[in-house]
Amino acid sequence: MRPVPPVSTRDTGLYIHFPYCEKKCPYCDFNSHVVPHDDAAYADAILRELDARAPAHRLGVGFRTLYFGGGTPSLWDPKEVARVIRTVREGHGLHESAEITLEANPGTVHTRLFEAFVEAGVNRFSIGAQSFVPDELVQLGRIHGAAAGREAVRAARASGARVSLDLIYAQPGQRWSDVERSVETALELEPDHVSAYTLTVEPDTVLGRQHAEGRFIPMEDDEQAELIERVSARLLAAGHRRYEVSSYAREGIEAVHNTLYWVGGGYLGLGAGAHSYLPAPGLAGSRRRGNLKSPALYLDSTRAKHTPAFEEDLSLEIALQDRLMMGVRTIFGLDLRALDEEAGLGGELVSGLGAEVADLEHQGLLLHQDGWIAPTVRGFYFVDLLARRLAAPLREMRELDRPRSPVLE
Amino acid sequence: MSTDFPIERIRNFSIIAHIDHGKSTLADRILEKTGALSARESEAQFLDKMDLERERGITIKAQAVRLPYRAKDGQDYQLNLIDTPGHVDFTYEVSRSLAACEGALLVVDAAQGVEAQTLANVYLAVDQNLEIVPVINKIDLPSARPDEIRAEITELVGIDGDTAILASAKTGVGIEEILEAVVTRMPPPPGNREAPLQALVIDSWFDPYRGVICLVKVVHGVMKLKAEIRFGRTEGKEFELLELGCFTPHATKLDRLVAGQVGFFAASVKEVRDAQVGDTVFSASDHKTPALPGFRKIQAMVYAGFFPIISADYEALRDSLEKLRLNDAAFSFEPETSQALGFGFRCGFLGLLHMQIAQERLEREFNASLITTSPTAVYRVTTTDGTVKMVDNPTHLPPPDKIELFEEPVVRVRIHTPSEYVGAVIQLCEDRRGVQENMEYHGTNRVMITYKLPLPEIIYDFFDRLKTMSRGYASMDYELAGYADAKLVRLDVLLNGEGVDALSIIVHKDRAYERGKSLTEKLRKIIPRQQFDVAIQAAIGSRIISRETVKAYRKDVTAKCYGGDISRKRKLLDRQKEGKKRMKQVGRVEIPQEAFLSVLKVDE
Repeated sequence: MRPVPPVSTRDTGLYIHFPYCEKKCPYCDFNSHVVPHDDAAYADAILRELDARAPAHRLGVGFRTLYFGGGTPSLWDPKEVARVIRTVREGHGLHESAEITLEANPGTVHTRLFEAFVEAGVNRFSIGAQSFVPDELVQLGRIHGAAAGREAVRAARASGARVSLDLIYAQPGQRWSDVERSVETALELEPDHVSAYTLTVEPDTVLGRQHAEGRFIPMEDDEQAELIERVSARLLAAGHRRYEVSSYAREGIEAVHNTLYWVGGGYLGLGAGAHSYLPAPGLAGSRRRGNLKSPALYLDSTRAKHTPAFEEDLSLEIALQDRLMMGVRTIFGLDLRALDEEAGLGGELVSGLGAEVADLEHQGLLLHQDGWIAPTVRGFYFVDLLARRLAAPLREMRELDRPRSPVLE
Repeated sequence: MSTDFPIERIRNFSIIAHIDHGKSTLADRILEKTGALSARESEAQFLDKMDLERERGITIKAQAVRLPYRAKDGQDYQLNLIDTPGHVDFTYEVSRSLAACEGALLVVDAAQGVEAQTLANVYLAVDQNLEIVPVINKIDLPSARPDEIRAEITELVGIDGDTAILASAKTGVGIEEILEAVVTRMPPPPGNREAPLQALVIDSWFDPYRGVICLVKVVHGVMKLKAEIRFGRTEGKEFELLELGCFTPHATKLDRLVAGQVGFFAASVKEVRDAQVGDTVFSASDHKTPALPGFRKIQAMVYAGFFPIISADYEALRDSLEKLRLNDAAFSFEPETSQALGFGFRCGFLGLLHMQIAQERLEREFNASLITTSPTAVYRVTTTDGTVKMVDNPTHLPPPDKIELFEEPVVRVRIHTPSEYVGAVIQLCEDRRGVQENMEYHGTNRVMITYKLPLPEIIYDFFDRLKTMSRGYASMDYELAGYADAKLVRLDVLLNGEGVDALSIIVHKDRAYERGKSLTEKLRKIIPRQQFDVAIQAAIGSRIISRETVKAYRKDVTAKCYGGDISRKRKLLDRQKEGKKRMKQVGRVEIPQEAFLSVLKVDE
């Protein structure tokens, strides 16, 4: 039976990035800056960008989701957040049941603040708890202790909004008993949603530099796999469903905004370093764009031409590759027939991927049903392999080279 | 003819030197001194023509330079400096280069002394009755010890070390003295310009515009432009001499080459195999004059499979191999099919170095991407029904119960070594199933040991071992000496129960267990982890003799991927995909290129 995603490829989301933090964590490669900031001025900049760029989108019933990410958006004055949400709703359309998420970090929040955000319109909090083991929080460079993490989740819950909780595990030297402590604590707090990530070394982070110099040695993949299995088993036993590689939720309350990324929906990204994906009909010519990362330069850009840091017009091949790469991350998977039709390939995608799909299914990594594919439980451990294998035949497809009308225009 | 350069004032010589002892620098200095090359032009080591040679520091193809020289006696001389290759795989080519000379300069490093490699070539020169002029080079070095080296030359080489010229190719000291010695101490070539044409092919190579170019020494008679010629070994083909010339060192056109002279010609010869090194060139109409002595038919000693990594590149690889063959008479190929690797070619080589050079040239000059299977000798198999079959590919071996007689090629190996390494050399040969034939002392310190050895035992690393255990002093050459019955078996490799034909090797029964064990261990280290366990087994027939397992990896997944990461994550996947391209998929298992050659390096 095919699980039904909470959002479709045709929906559009809005992402707003708040780039400021009290302290930069050594593992974090999101666009965050420890500099003084002006909440009102930043909100003004966001609204200028919204006015300039939103009309270009075909919004239909309005944005299906709104997500405040960071950085640490819980540092943002709730009054400004309220002003932004109001302007989006009134001026540009926000779906009546839109999911409105705000990321909040322990150590920057309290009960009143959550209430204020809820009054502003936020209906879901994503809490960066990361761990409930004090030593691990020090290792991760967090500004808060275990108690603050618990308090933040409780306070968020008390506000009546949905709550998701982030965990980071597979730190070097960590044992299952350590991870178990965090997972058990998390479950006691009864979150609606858990994002449990294995610690990843990203380039251009403190951790990345330490890794390059040999001062940080990540946990072996085999050990990581072992921990993933245990974490997954424990969360499943508590009634959560693993609907994405690192995402667990009770059925029906998955993260709508995140799912939009995975099913290939469009999104407008506002704020410093925010990314947008603007799908084109037929996929060829879909555009990705990234805003300037420096808050100061970004603020300037909103008073001029909204110059981006990069823009990428996707060939049909790349657009398809992205859809496959993202699609195999969730149990919602993707429908190759629908994708073939969307791209106007006349069945070549379905037939071209046939051999790989059959082989991956045979290997027990992929579910396959009438052109619909999704990772199996085992497949969740080999998502990158699935992406590579499925993208490989794209190069051989002659249909992809045929000029298409949107390109010619 | 009166206009021809008098033969009494021609000198043909070569330089014999150990790698690094300064042969190329000395050659450059001589070119400069005679005015053939300006210092600016001498672009370090002019004689090494191909890039590849320059990088490897060895000279594969011989070349000859004509140098005008006015000696102290006031007379003009014509000197021909003939370069020689320097590896055991090319001993025959060296002997042909030397056959074109009357003298040789023996260059010895003033600090390091006489090296073994040099000696092998000196003996070749002595065999050809060449006049040898010893030169002690690098006397500018602080560590130079010329007196000791003189004594070494007397003792090891057997020529009077006191006659050695002290020189420094770096500073130019002694160069003039060397040129004078070439003129006064070396004899002019013998030769009769009135006799019918006999020219020795020293080298031949393919030029895309003019066909095969032959480097020859005219021994007797005259070679004239537009004359018709034939080669002694190529039946029924006649060629018109379209171009004659010599290298000065730049190619310079001439109307004629006369007895005693060295030069090149082009005659619309299409393939180098029609103009093989060592062959004799005659006038087309002359079928009476005998061939010059010493021709040896080139024979491939080892065979290996060359397969394109991407099967679509098959035709391109065939084109490249054809081009390579035009230029290399010792190289041969024919189509081969492997269950594991698909369509490819079985290629024949003189030896392992020759094979590696071919592989590198294909990859470099023709941009081919290859998988090379392990090289093998040619075995002689007599089946139970009495048929005799030559097998150059383990896959083509008849089933064991159909084999009556399984013979391996045997070579006669001559090893020259200082006496202190005799024990180690004998040990090495005995370990490789050798049978001693002879041992001779030359002087007080030199020994020549002759062994009969199975060719398969020396293909891989014998030469390297010999060099290592004798600290470089021992040298060897070998020739095919028939076939001998041996207890041989085919060792197969299975991956997850499926045989991989390209990994099969023929081994001696007594070594099979050991080889199987080290081969599976080696493969376990080379084959990357896959998402399932890979069982590696070595088997003889249906009997498994060793087994290793590559444990499955347990994850291949990016933990975090959201809307901001997509472009970067996609590029990461693309890079991983590039990495995979150098792998060959055999069944379900991805095998890297080097696995197929790992069979060679089993002894490490």
